[in-house]
Amino acid sequence: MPIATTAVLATTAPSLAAAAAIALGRRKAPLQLASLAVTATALAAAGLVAAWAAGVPMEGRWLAVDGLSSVMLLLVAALGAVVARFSERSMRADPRQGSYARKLLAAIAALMLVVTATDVVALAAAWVATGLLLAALIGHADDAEARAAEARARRAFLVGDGALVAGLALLATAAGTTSIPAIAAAASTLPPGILLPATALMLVGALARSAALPFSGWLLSSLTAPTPVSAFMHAGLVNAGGFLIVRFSGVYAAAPEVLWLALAIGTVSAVAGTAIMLVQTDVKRQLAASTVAQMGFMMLQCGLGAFTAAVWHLVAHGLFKAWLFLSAGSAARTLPARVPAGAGGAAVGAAAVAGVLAALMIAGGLMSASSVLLVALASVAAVHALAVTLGSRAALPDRTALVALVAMVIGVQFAGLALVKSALGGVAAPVAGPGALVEVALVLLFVGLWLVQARGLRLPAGLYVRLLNAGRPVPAAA
Amino acid sequence: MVVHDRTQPAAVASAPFDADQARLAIRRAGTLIPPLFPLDQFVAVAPLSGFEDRPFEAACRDAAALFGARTHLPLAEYRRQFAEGRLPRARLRPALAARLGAAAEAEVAPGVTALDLALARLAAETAPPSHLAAAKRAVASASSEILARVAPAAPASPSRIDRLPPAGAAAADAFVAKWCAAFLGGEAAAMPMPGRQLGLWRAVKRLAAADPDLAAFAGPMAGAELAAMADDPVEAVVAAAAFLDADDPAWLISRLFARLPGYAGHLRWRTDYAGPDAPAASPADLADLAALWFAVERLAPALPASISPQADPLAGVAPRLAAAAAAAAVTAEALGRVPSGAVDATVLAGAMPDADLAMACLEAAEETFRAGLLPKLAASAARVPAPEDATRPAAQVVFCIDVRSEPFRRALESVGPYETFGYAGFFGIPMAIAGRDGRPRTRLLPVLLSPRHEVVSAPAAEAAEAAEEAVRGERRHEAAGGLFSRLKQGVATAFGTAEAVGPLAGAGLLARSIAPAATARFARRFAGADKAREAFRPAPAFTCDDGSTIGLTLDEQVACAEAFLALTGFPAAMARLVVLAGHGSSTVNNPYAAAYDCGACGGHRGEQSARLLAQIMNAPEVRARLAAAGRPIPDGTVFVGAEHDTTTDEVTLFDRALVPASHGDDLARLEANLAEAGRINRARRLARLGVERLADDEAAVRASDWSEVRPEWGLARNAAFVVGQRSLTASHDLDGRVFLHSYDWRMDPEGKALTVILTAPMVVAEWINTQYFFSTVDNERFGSGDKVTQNVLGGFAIVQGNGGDLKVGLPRQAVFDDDGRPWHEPLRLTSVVHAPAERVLAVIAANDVLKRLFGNGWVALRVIDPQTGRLLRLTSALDFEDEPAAA
Repeated sequence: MPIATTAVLATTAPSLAAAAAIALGRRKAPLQLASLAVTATALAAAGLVAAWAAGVPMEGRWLAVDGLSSVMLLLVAALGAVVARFSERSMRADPRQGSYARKLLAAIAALMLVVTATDVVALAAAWVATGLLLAALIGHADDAEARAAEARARRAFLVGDGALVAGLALLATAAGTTSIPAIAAAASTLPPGILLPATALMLVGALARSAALPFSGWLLSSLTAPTPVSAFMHAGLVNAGGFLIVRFSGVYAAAPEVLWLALAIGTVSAVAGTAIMLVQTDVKRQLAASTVAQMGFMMLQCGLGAFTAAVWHLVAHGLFKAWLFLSAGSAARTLPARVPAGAGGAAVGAAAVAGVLAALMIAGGLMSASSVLLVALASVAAVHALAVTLGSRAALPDRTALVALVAMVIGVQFAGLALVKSALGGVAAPVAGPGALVEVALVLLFVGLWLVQARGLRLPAGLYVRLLNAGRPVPAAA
Repeated sequence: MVVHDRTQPAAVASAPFDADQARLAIRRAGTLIPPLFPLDQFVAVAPLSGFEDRPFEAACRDAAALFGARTHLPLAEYRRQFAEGRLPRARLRPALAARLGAAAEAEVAPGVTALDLALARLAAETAPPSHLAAAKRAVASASSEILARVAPAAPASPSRIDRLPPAGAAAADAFVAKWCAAFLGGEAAAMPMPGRQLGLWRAVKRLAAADPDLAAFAGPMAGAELAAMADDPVEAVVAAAAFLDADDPAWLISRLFARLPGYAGHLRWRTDYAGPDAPAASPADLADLAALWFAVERLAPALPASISPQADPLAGVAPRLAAAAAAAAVTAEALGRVPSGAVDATVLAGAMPDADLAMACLEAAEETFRAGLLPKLAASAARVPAPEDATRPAAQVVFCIDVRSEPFRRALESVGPYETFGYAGFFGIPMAIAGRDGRPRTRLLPVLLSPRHEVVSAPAAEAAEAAEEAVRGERRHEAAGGLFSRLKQGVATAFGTAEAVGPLAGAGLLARSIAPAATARFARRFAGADKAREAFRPAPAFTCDDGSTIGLTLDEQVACAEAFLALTGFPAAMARLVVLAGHGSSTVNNPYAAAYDCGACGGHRGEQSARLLAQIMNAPEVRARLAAAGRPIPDGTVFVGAEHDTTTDEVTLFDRALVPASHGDDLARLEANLAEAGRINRARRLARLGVERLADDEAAVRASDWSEVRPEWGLARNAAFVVGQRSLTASHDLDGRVFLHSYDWRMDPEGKALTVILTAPMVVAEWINTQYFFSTVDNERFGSGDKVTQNVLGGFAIVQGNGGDLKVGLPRQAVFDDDGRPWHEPLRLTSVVHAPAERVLAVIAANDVLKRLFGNGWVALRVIDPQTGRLLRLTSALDFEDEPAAA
């Protein structure tokens, strides 16, 4: 139904209209206008998703609403509204707040178009637009360092977006259509000589946007961005890489070799990002390195074919990271607790319990093999939390409450996962994953590294320096 | 009181540069760098404290050269003020005339004097090309002596790094900043830099040799050379000085420290101020930093001085002169024909350096401010004191001297028969309060002092249950925070944690956005913060389980009580209630929270000190001793501790359980009136914060909204310090710009109290004043820049964006309004003392710090002599002359 394109455009209309009004010279209170407009957009998006959920068909020529885009629309619109609201106060002393509001509004709208695009032309156009706007927001402060960071992001996106556009063009030409569902349907009939390079090129686009290795430098040196931009960037814009893989899951199902590549790069990014995070001393760089790791994990999940889990991860991580960035000003008074003596023991216990738990669940048929990693790592976290909590003096009076809290958090998590699963329905085509053996190997890798970490790892000098320097900008002459 | 050595580093003798010499040189170089306190005890520090040994203008010149900073407002701002009439011509003329001396009256063109020319610089800054050509001719015929005055050449730098191309110098700075950050911020890293226990220099030396960033600016061999340097920082400095063949190593150290004054300031704090509170696991002092800088200096390629292009200091002279002439309506022809006898005066006046012109503007602005203040105070002083009012005030309320107290006091006095006083917010008790549950102690005193009393905050008897609950809340909060950061940093746990916490964070995002005040309240309740405030009470003397006592002895308590009465000149006629109100600021998600708290309490809330002194003043044994000493406190008088929240203007009364039932009605009345005064002051403050609609709850939102970058204006616009009775100021609206310290000269015949007031609270006020001053005039160098791109490092300091030096001073939003205009008006402090002139002179004569501050123009002193009624000003030669009548 062609109405869908109009309907989605209509939801972004308040934001785009506000951006246009500011661009055309409306000077008064641009930040309030932006906040109002994004809130209107968010409410409209919620309405749109509700309509889709109620069964109104929403498949247009260019844009469409389906399970995946519903989840993404709600995430992007809600984060956009929170960030625009935050900017009202935090950016009000900015000398170029009009330009800021315009770019932010356009970036939110463009990202909404990315997640609803059902045609590769629309997708490519919106994708490139978000990259340009994101780079401009990184350089908003307009000093030498900010401009250098902007240029670095532009370079990464030039490579990534070029690869993505080439991959999409290859697919569309081979399939003889620009419609994404049609391409997915035709995927299994495409010759590998087309399919493999096309999906590999698109993967490059996804990795660049999601700041996976070797593209993580642009994100790690983007701390010149105002705090609310960082929140939107880390919680919204970088997710587009994972979203892209899931959107084309039907195509990737036919190209398992490329998924193996995603799995490998994702794993390396997850481990390296975490290691980089551990040695940083400033809060925003810690958060940026953590995003590299989390996006790597998302790619890893995609590589396993666990698309539902990847979408849930990007949603939950988005909320988590937006919260942490927006509250980064509180870091002055809270220092992280170092792993205490004896935590190694708790960790070993946690890992053992988690392993037994996961094995029981799989044996009992409670979880499909493609969730082993997720279940195992979530259990490790939960059990470790319990072990530490039970061992801490604080827990003594409210032990039950804390156990209940941990149980509730895990419950919420699985509910969220189930929700995403039901929303996604058939969108993310299930593919044959690399198998439980690989997943068990990954569990062993992460848990093994973690046990080493918990024992108080001493890094060799060369490695420490590399981690400390990772993605650090080349100093700009003042 | 600690008085620091402020000797100039240039005065090092030509003895061989050995370890002792090196230590001395490092120490001297350090004195030029103001200490940078950690964020949780962020207090005002005078950015030029190391230069107070010289006159203000010379200090500005030297500091500007050393730090590469501007020490005055941009001329564009003064031009705007001039155009708006806020900077009156009548005050500018004498300031400029004094600067020009005899040249002022020289006739440049018919009807235009050199003074007119100088003044015209404030009217325009560009000139037509014809004027420029004529100006160039005039400059060419000026004497070299005059040219040296209008275009002083920058001294050649002794540092190799200064001679590197800009990218190389930036790389050297980034290298040092990165390693300092890795070492000093280690507390915040899950995997801190290895070897920190060895000290900064040794730890960096071991690792940085493997750093490719070093090779990038210092060449491929630099790593090996670094590794071969001496392990001992002082030895390394000595060796490097010999290698560099430095003429004046101390001066070189100063130059190098000043490249990254934030890190140098932090190490200055560790070296000279932190004492036992310095982080023990990572020892570091200024010698480490000097060794690191000398290593970089030594490894940097030695380029000849000629390679870096020296900007021609003369380049700006002719354009300045041309602009001045054009604005003064001197034609290009006339400018080309200036009589030869007037050329020097023309160039001197028309091409005056921006810094000199700005200094004249500053003096004019200060005179303008004083002309609005001094006559009012003098008139009040001259008024015949009313016969002692027979009606006892309903209560006497003592506030901190902080400028934010002044409007609140006025509001309170307007709603009821209240008498108010000003006293330093730590209430004269130099203490450190022990942390609960093994947390570190908190110093609640001005940073110039060292704690003399350790005090324990113990559960109040009537609130034992609430205290337990508060401790549970604190532990819960701490455990949750610790657990969360551990989980999110574990290789195996980080991913599951993000997913598990995500939904909660989503709820938090919405709650913080939609209902910030309620969310902040919930967060405080979760952490047990509100309960803890009420349930724990600082104990004057706490008896431990083993029978020993922590706190103040009776003698010490009596001394604190006596000091309070003497310094404030507290009247013998006491009200039934005497409230001691400290102050604090409620703000969330704000790394600069401490900057809004009480500076006299070391950047913490002032509540504990107020509550402690109130208990001391109520103690029967203290009262007995006071009575014996002739300062009886009436039986019906009860002291109450309180706190003024400067963001919300709410005043909380503490320890009500200690107030006898007989005073219940007084307390209720007072509370209602405090609330009313809060409403009045809130409305006044919100108008100044640019809140257009009168929204009374906006203050509460500002105190709790996580996106707020300016919860309040803090001490912005502070400009004067008044020492005297309230009758001097009570009838005037001083617009929240004045520190008020109560003082009664009749009760201080020997000037003892005055000495304390001028050497302690006034010095704190001067530090605050100069911090706001320099944060405003150069927010990049002396302030911390834009809040939205700030990044907290190591939990103790701020960097901008990706890193670099630690930022010092106040953020831009604290001193500039939303339109980018300075909200804080940078004026040097004017101190007004109501006391006999000769007594004031005697106090100054006996105190070097006062001679320095007054004699060098850091603080302007005015005295209203109660015996003669004269309004006097202290000259730079430290004698009094009559303040000229207002023009």
